[in-house]
Amino acid sequence: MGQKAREPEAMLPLTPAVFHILLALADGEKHGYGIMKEVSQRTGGSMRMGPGTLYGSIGRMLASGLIEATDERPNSEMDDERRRYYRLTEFGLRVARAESRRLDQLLQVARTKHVLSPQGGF
Amino acid sequence: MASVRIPCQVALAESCYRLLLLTYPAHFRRTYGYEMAQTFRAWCRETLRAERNLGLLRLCGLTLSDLIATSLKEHGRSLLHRLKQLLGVMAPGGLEYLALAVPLRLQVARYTDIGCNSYYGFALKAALEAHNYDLWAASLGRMGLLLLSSAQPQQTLMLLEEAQDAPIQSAKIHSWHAAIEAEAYSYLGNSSACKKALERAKDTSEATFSETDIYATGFTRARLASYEGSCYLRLNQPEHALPVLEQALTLIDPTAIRRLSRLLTYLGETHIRLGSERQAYEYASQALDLTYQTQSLDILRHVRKLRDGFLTRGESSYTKDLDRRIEEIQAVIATVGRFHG
Repeated sequence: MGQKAREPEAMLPLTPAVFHILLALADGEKHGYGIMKEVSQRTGGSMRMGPGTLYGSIGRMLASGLIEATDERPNSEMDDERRRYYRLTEFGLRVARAESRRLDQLLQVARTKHVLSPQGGF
Repeated sequence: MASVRIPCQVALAESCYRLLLLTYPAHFRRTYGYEMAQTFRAWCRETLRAERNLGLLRLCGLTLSDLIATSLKEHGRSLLHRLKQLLGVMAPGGLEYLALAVPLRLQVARYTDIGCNSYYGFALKAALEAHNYDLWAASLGRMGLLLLSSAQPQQTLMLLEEAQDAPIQSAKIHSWHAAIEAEAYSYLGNSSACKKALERAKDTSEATFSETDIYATGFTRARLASYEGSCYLRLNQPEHALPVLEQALTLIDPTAIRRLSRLLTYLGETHIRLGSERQAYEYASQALDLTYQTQSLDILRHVRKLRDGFLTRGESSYTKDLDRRIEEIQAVIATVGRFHG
């Protein structure tokens, strides 16, 4: 009774919060507040997740194997408090790529229909 | 650890937030409550530094709306999870929990003619889900016996073949499977295969029979002798059947009345074939006495077969008496059926 290999496409489409968290972790592990800051900065403050949205999403992502938690350790750049860090799993990275491709195809359609200019503007 | 001074506005906001965390389901709060409060504090501190009190106020508003929305969502998920747990089979691995009830279901199926198939089918599924191969093999054996009672020995052999490579731990189940295999071959009239299987079933230590029968195989020395006798009977060797069936009668637990009544019909059939009608009638009569209690339609069917045996031999007095008693039992079964129906 072998376990079936999971297809990343089966997880799509992702919620904005989950996709932002995956992107925030794409360049290395981060703790909860680190993820929140990264998302807010990258979106120019337009996407602001509260702790409830962040940890609700983290819980589901851990359960579906998109991310994994590492041991708690202090963060000397902040307050030296021990924090739990999260990082992408191999499957999480494949899901992030699949979602990026899906959104890219949508953008292509938008360009073909002249909803979006080829340079990306309106 | 470096000590970081927490501004009073942040400390106040954090205290309020910790209180509001109580609105989340307990398991969610236990898992993420500490991290959420920690994240909220860090967020408040940086916002206060960059945007002063107004920024902190905006942040509190944003957090409050986030808290209301996500706490409702988490309660919804928690409720759904509990519902799935209650429904058992719907939850992944639910069958594993239900497998714990299978031995009880096997016992129930052992004492009733009704719904055996669904019990055994369920048991097979649950046992596989739980990777419990002994339980699986026990269910397979019971299913095989059920197929034999509906004259499908080939299907029984196919089922037993499935169990051959499984990591079954119980020696009792191995011997029991061999005995069932012998029964299947006797139905097919394959004398040599039947005897080989019987030898395998008998080639077992006393420890096998004293092994705790947690999966309700009911396999005992008496049962083995009964299997052997019924095999000889089917192979038309009543002279070999008689001593082993008589041995089974001395070994059998007298409270196991369903099994006992079955054994009595075997003995009756053996005596008819050996030409001792009086003894055959005695055994048929005793089997009927027990059928008043068990109300087993299966035993009634076997006694009718014995009655037909008397008929072909012109024993009208035995036939008449058995007919009368069979009718009485049928009336009792019909009354009980109406009462329960």
